[in-house]
Amino acid sequence: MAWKRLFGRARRDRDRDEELRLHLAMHTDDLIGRGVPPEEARRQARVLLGNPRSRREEMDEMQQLPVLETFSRDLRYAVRLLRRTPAFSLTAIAILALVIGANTAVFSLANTLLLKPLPFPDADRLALVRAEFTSSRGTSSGTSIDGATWLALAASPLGAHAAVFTNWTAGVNLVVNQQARFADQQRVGAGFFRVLGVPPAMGREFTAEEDVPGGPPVVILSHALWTRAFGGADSILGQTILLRGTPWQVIGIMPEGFRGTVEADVWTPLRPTTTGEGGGTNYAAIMRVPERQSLADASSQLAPVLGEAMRAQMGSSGVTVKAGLDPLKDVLASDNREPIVMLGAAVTTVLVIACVNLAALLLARGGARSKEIATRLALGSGRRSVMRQLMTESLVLAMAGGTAGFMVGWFALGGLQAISGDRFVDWQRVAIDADVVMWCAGLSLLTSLICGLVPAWQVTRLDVQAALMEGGSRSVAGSASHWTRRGLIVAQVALGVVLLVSAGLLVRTFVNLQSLQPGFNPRGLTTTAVSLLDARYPSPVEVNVLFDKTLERLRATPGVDAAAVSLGLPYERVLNMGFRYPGEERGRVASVMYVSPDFFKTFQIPVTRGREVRVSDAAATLPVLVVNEAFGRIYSKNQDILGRVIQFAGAQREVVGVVGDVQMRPGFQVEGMVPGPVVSAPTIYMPAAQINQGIVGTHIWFPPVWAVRASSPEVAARALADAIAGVDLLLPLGQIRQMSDVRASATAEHRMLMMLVGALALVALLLAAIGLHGLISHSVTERTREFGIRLALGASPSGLVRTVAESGIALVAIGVVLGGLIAVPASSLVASVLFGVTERDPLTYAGAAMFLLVVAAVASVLPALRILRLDPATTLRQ
Amino acid sequence: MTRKATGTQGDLLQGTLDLLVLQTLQIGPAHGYDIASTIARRSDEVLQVEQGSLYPALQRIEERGWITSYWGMSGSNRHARFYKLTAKGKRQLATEATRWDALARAVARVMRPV
Repeated sequence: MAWKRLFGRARRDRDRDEELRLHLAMHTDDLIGRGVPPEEARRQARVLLGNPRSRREEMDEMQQLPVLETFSRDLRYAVRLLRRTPAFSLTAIAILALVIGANTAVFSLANTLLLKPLPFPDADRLALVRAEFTSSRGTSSGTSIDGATWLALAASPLGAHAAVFTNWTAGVNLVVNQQARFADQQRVGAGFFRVLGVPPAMGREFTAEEDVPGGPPVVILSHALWTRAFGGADSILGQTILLRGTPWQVIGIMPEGFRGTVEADVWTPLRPTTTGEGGGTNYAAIMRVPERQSLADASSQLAPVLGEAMRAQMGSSGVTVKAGLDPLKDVLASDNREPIVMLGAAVTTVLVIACVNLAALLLARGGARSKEIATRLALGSGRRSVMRQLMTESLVLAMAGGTAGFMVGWFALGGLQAISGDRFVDWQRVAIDADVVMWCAGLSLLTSLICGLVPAWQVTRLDVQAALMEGGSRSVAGSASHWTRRGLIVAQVALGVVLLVSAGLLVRTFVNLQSLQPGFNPRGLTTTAVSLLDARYPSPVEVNVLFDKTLERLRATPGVDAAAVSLGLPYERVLNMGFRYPGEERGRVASVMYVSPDFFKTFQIPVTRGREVRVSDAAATLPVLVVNEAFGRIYSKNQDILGRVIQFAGAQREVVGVVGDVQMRPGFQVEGMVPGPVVSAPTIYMPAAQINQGIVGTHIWFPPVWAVRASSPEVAARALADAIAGVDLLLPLGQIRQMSDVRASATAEHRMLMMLVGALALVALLLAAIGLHGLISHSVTERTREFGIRLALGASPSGLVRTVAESGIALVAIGVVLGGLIAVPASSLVASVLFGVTERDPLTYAGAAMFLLVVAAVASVLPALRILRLDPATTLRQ
Repeated sequence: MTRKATGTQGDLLQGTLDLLVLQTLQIGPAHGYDIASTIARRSDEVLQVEQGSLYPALQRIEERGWITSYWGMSGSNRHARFYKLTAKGKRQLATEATRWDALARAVARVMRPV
């Protein structure tokens, strides 16, 4: 209807004209009929009708869609104006694109990983059992439980709604058509998929009868593996496949795109026990809270049952246990929350700075346009319509910036995924979706509102007469707008300080981490992990035969200087086990690695005392150990550790050597260790030849790693592949990694946060500098005449420059002080990732302040220097 | 200017003009000038509808769907736009007339001698 009215206007205009003309004619005829002379009749009729033009306009007005038409007019005007000042427009759009892009990228991470519900039906009701242990040494918590705790939960009234599973996968060897493949295996209990609410697309899930020790070997495949390895053939159901060297029967295929608690290719029954694996906290339990109950209800109902089972496991060690349920979503997101929240805070800060900056730019522009605006007001344009016009301009800017920002966001997300690398695996599956598009559009709109309001508000205070009289040489509302702009500069600087302090703290942390001595030589060292989760490697004998044969081949390869096998690597998570001194009750914990002879030579870890592991340390000879210096320092303060005997891994073993410390990620903390993301943990190295069955059992968590020191990474990679394939063709080789990469990935999170927050801080600094530069150069332009007079009267040019520049530096000083105050609480956001520096590090604060002041001085002095080039004579004549 | 000249005769309340137009069209279809002169005649020349109000009013009423218009021939054999009451217009007229009656009676009661 409305559109028809718009388009049919020309025809109707003619109609109206015709109607009015006929009216006039009829009236004239009528008057003539009553005896009025024709000339007089026409005059009277015309007088009564009034101005036909204004009648027409009045009727036109009614025909319009006022909002739409004025908006499109404003829009055309705005675009025309912005095109007339391309430098300003492009700067504004570029700033917006940058910050909106950064925000879009971080939002897409937050949306997928923190905000969106999990892809399970009624996912809010899913929870994991969680325990909090409090002792005199502090509180630790986790979602790991032992077999006894699971049995207690299964026997409780809520047991029917729960399932046990392992929340990690093991790389296993899958043989299809005589070809070895690498597959991620997750072990889950009966009912796991039922609790998640996602049944297999084909076949069935594990029954309780199958999920017992010694149960039948049955397996469920992921849709991806099924199509990749078996071509998606239905006939696979009921068939057997070779997994870890033994036959397993396929009983189900999961739906396409299904992802459980972790990424996995095959699922096998967990077969929970209370001894062996089940004797430690190696399980997790998932529960779907029944409809009639709230999560808190179920949690408090289960707390005593779980608490009792966990206390039994702890013994009487003075540790108190608090058990309950945690939403599944919170547990799965826990790794990602901290960095995403941190990045989110940083990009939001930059967004606010950019808004403030743009508002200041638009305000300055409003000042330059004061004459134009005053003219429009004087000609009868309403203040409201001028405001609307200014808002439309910022809307056009924000929309252009938003569109460009969306593209920037697309690339930024790719960049984030690239630099997060293998530290944040979950980030890789984040994609831009409809939510992100909506959010980006909304953000652009909001930005235009914030940026446009201040300058539009200034217009309402414009003194038309003054602006016109001054000939446009003064700005909007004189000094009032300067105060607003000064306030905006202070705000920008303050927020910039906050970011700069956080970035500085992260830089110091990273430098501290980088300056830690690795304790070995990572250069020229190439490694690969090989999963031995295979029926052909059940005991120490077979494992050691494999080690000996492959190492023999490696050592014989030209270009290979040294080669070794170990369980665990420096800079990686390693096995932790308890040990005790004979005659002592108290157990202690240490990181444990088994190593082949030559390990220390290959890694170039210095043997400080005693000897290293030798070929002569065999299964039949006396059990020996090598420990690191941290071990002696922490666990044998009063006695030389060399020569001491330790009860460990089922035997009494003598310490025959002490080696230097290397950096590790042990995941435990004892007195005497410097806390941090990588640390020198007390470590036991045992000869691979002397491991027992229990250590072989840990292969389900940690695969042994082959390391080669060779002339080049290519030589090393080929040597590793050839040597292992030459001994066992069916063993799948893991990823080949340079030790320097392993080292880098241990600090990848810190490097990433430092780089991102640092880059954002630089953007903030740049924006603040642009804003300050603009303010000073604007005030110089405005006061040209005044300066001319002062110069003519004998003022020194350098004195004037100082006065002008000082006003800018003073603003920054205020901003720095304010920002420093805000930074104290704000930097607590990064406190948890700091290393070797506290969140109130005075050096960082002083550095950030100095840095900003220097930038401010440059940004203020540069535009002020123009005063030196002023010629009083020309200035005054103008 | 015209408005000022005729304004002394008293501007009609907008709603009242609509009512008058509708009431006039109840007699039968009519063109603009006819409507204006009919209202003048029936009010004994007291109510002079200013053209400047009449045509915008006609347009407004037409947009509300109370009247429709078509081009036809007038009595003096002239081309003219005729306005005609719609069913919706008739209903509107009934409501408006009732309301006007009530208002007129109320004003009369207030204005009775004190």
